[in-house]
Amino acid sequence: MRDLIPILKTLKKQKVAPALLAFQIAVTFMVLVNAVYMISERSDLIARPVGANMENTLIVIANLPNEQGDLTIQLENDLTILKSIHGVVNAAPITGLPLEGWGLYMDFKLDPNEEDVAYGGYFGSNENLIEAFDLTLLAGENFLPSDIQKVENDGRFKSSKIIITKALAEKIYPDNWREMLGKSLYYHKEPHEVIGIVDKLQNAWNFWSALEYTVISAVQEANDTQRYVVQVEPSQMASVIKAIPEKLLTHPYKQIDSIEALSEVKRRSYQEDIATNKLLTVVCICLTIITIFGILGQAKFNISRRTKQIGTRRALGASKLQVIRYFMLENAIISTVGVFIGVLAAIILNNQFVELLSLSPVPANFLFLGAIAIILLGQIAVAYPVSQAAKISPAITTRGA
Amino acid sequence: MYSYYFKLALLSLRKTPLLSLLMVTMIAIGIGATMTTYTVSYMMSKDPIPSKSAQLFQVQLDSMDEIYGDGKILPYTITYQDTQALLESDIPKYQVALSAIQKKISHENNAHIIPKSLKVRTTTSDFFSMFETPFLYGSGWSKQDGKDAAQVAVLSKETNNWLFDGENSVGKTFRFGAETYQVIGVLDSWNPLPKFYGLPHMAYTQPHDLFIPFNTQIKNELFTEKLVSNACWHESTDDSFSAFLASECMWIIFWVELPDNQAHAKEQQSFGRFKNRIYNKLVPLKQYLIDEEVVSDDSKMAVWLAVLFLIVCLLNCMSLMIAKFHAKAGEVGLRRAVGASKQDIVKQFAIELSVVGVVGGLLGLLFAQLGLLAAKQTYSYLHSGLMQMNLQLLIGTVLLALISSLVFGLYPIIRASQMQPSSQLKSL
Repeated sequence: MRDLIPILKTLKKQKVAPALLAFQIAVTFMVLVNAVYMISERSDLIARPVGANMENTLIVIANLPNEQGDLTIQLENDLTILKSIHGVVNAAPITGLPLEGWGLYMDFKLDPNEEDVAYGGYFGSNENLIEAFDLTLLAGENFLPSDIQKVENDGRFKSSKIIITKALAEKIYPDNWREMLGKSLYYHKEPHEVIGIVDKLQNAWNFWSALEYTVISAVQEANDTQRYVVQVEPSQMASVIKAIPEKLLTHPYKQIDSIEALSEVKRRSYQEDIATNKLLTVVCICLTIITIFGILGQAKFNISRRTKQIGTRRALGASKLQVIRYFMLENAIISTVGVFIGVLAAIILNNQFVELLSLSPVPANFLFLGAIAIILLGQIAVAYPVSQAAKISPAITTRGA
Repeated sequence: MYSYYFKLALLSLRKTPLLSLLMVTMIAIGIGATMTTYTVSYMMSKDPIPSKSAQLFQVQLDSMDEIYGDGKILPYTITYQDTQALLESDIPKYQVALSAIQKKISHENNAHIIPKSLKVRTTTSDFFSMFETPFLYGSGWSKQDGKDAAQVAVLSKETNNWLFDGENSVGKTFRFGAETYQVIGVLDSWNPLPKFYGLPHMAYTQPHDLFIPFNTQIKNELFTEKLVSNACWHESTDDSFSAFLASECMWIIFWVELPDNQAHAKEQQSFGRFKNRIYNKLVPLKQYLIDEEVVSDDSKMAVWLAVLFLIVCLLNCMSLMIAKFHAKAGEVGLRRAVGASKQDIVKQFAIELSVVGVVGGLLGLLFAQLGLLAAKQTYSYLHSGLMQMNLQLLIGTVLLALISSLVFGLYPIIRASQMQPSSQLKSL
């Protein structure tokens, strides 16, 4: 610590260069902390489980052309074909898809004359959906084939049995979600008896606060653009994807819009977040490299200017270690000042940033970890030029004027 | 004099190639990053139709009852019955109702052309004049054709290339589902950015593949739920299409072009069923783009980050300049001693820095192009037109590099010029 006073004196004498470096570290710190926090927040959002089996769930979208007659009969035909394909565990029709970005939502009431208790997403399907998505039924039971109503559209207006997610049950009965079983939820003025509760199933919009409040109703709809959920045995994915068009395209009007894994639907839903995360990562890496260059250059410049001084110190008995310690400490001081400015700026500017870009403020532990990381980064960057400085021979004092 | 300074600058840069390269690269990287993100954001928020954006308004109606509507935020779609009422009006210069469907399109007899399921814009006859679409062949359909629900279509250039090999296909027919439709016009390349007239979350996608009259959609009872934003707050009476049309379902986007304020006031008063509702709105195009957050926060944030990034690069550069000018103290001392004024030194170094700035800017331009290429890959779901610089941006890039390097070079230059000649000459 004996070095502290001389370092501070030197810094005071030639303020500008170290101030620039400190300022640069401050900006780097601010950007890095914010960017890393945003990346981690987004990754957490993307990592939320959909509730369905992501590896083995296939989504098929095909048409039910009016030219071929009754839609419900066509739908049943399609389902029979899909289930008959080797490697398919089960298949079910559905009115929308998790994370599709398009769907139906309802306001729920416990009593038709009272206020809403919750709102959430709606899927209409049949008794096979639980197996087709590979959902976990926590309480109650699945639909029976006799529970299923079959309509062409507007199934949401029908009174029916429903299965809901645990998150929705907890929203309505925070103390004991099992209480929801056997009760009726009202939407569109009709009662719907809750007969089962599944662990998790996300609905249509990934940004929605009610993403995990989902209702599955026992009303199967046949639409001209029909979605099917298909559960496939592990490792049969490729052969099933190949077999579906061969089997399903039974007449010239039949068309398959898409066959894709549920994981692909999810990826598309988050593609903007994934792209932004990539961008932020690139910014972080470039910024780190540039700042390391800055610290390196600064240290080299300082050392080349003080070659004589270092030589003199060595001649007067300072060990290599002491020289190294001096420059490491100098860098640590500048970095700390930079981080300090950065923290202040982060705190002051954060509110503006939060408002301007609707971000959430960076928590304190991120600031703290970021500070340590930046100071360590500085130490690493300065290590090489300093080790060179330590090699300066004491004999240099004897040369030249 | 300046050409001499220019020569001196080149000489000096060549004398310290590594330092010069580092400075140029720093500026180039910072400028490249900033301009990449700024280009995307700038192209996103550009006025899509500058000649008349002030005269285009979207009609938003407060048609919901007290329980469903809060009156403040109105949906950007309206019901079919309101659309019919609005289309009767003769106040606007042009008015356009919009929806979309998906349909399988095929060639009539060429079996080699594999049928495709295409997105079809259904709209009224004013669409083409109101949005100033360029025509390659033919034209839009007449008002009468629109009324009569004629089975005619305007193809996009791409669709025409696919179906008719790019020939003049006006008058030819093709299969639209099971029906036969006649081509009445073919558009030239047309990519308004943002695609302001459709659904806001589709604003950076290509226009739909073909266009048919709105009434043709209605007559043939076509509807694709996925391509419209359909808000129903009241159940239809039954499952039929006519009940759907008569229902309170809001699924049609409606634009009007109003030539002046007088028309604006008149139009405001004429909103059919809801004369007395004060929340009915004519939303100006630009306001609509802001309301619907067509420019994502992400792209704004990226610009901010890139600007901070540029500042870090410039600070770095500034340290390098201080180091450079420090090393040139002897030269400055000599020049001052033989009669150069402080201003001369400032001029000399400013020119040197300008050279660095311009070269950095040009290199930055190259980096920005690479960055935009990378952005095209990463943001593959966005319109590639967003990742292109126009002339203003190209010039802006180089200017930004020049100005920022001079601003950040100001202090090192002045410091170098303040040097006492005597202190330097002693050590020579």
